[in-house]
Amino acid sequence: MYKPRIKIELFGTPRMVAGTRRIEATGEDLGTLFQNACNKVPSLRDHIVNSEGTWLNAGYTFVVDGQFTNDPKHYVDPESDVLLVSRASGG
Amino acid sequence: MHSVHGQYLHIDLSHGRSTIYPIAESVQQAFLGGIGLGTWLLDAWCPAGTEPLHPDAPLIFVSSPFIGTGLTTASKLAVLARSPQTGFIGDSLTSSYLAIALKRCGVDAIVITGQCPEWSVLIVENQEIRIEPAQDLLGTSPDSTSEHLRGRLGKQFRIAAIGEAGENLVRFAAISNDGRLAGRTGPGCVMGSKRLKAMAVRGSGRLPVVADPEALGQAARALSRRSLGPETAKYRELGTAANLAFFNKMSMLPSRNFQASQLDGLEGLHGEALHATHRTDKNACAACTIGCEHHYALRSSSGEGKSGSTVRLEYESLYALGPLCGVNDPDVVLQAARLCDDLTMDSITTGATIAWAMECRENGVDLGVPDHEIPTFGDGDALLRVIGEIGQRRGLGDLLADGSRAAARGVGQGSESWTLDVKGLELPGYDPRKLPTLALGLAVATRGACHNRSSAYEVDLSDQLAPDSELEARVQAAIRAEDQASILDSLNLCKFLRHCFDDLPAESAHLLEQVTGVPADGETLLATGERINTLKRLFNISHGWTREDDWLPSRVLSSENGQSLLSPDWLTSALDIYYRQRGCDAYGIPTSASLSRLQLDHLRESASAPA
Repeated sequence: MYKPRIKIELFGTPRMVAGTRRIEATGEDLGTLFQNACNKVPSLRDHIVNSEGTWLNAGYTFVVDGQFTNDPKHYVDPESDVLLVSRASGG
Repeated sequence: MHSVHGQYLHIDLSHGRSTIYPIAESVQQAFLGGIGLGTWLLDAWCPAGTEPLHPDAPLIFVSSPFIGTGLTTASKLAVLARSPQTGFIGDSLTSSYLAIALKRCGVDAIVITGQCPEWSVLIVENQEIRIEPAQDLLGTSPDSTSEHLRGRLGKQFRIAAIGEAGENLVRFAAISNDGRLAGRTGPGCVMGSKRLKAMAVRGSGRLPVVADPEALGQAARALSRRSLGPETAKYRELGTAANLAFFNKMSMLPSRNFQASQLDGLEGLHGEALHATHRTDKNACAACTIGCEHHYALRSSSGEGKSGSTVRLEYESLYALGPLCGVNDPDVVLQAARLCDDLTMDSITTGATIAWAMECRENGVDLGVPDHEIPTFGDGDALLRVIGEIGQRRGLGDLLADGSRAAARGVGQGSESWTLDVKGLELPGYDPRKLPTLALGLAVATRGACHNRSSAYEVDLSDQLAPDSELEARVQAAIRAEDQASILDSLNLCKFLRHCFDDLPAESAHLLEQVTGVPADGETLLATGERINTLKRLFNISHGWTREDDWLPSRVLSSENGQSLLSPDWLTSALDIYYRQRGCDAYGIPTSASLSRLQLDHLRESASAPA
């Protein structure tokens, strides 16, 4: 079955850890997309994943189409603009 | 009340005298320390009609109950004066060992009035003072001044000093200590007006004991551990420079004097890129476990050959000296940041005022100098030249040294319409057109367009509120952000700790109780934050504030380019709600019922300054 690939644009520590500005992964919601991205770039797990290994730790958040969200069930599609950033987005 | 001395030192420079004044426990409970206690002192010592640069105007340094307790990031010093840039309250925070030295002097604050007969250094040893000539230090950077004085007086002395900008009464001059700046609203200008090149402080007394050392020790260790967790990783690993790439992506990066919110060709300025190309090391402020101060190598403008020296760089300097001026060369921005530090002036106002001049050049405005002396957007060499001119008040710099609002009022020709300030203080690097909660926070902020006294961007840059939330809820969130900021600023804790608390008011109250022994909870601490913000408003009112001062620049309220979520009608409605929720009348004046509820009626009268 065809699974569309979604681009995640990385900022800050995720970009430095991954060594790239973008990761492509599959997933219909942020939770699956995130797990697949971590499988693709395992070094992310050392820095941005919670102690249960299930989701982002307290330092990070997603921004989907300009909206901040920490909901792993948040729907995403190939047209979505998905950013992974520090939760402390300001100064 | 534990962990305070219950007294402050007043120093009269004109007569070389000092006096100790008591601080009632009720005042310390009501205003904590730092900016809160400093506001109370400023209100007492700077009555209506006191001009910011008059010898009678006070310059105030304040510690807090948390300083010296082992709580991470708490070694912050509050510096207050009536701002020569805005005419309203000028309050800054700076982290340094000077904060600890001051507390070891046996006082909670130092209030300086008067004017030295000649350029001088004020030396404070415990509660004794002396004043020595400083002619030989004029023209030197604060780092050089500090090195010289500590060599002469001893390493136990901690130094606050001004650079050339303060000597030349640049209205946005800062005060430097340990390389950190009390930067905004011009405290260095006030210090310069007193002919005070530096203050050297040595305290040899014991720090006052805390109420519950054992419990506080455990809490302090837990907070330190959390400060090394993911909540602060950004600051530790990249610093605030990390904001730039993300803000540019989100079209929130003010560029070319707010003519745009995004700029191409900035890749070299991204925090991630600077980390790879220029970063050398990092440093931590006094008693801080986070260590957010990242240093970058200075190179020549052509990018060739390292000079061997480095500069610290924060996002605000990066924004104001980079995209705001259309500059994308990292070497130029780093040199510009270093120049601002050496001359010791606020880099946000410096960059924003130069950006205003650049737009003047675009529009053919006569600034009283030949056109070729007015910088253009993107001209890095001109940026560096004009920064130097501002610090020394030479050529075009003499006009710009008063800030963009005063400069525009001076030259007119329509240039007032592209000053980007609130109350005369230029906007930080968050485009309010996309950040409505912050926009309100900037409009009402008592010291002018300041993101640190409000922190309302937290609401916009999170999922706390849906984008289409009712205005009532957005205003409420802005007020809570203001009050939380006041709590941190009056406990003298760093804002970078804020994510390390699950419930900031309640957990801060718990720490406060362990430190001072005074029972506290989250609600009473939030009320303290409200009290402090209300007193700041009262100070401004006594110095001529009206509702019209709580307003945003026309450019960010305009629907030009369809960019802005804001409009004049939106801001009017938001202000109406804000004043109502704050317990003010329609003109923004706190009602007598509010003053009574916050106990400000009698606390204001208890001020002990012999004005």
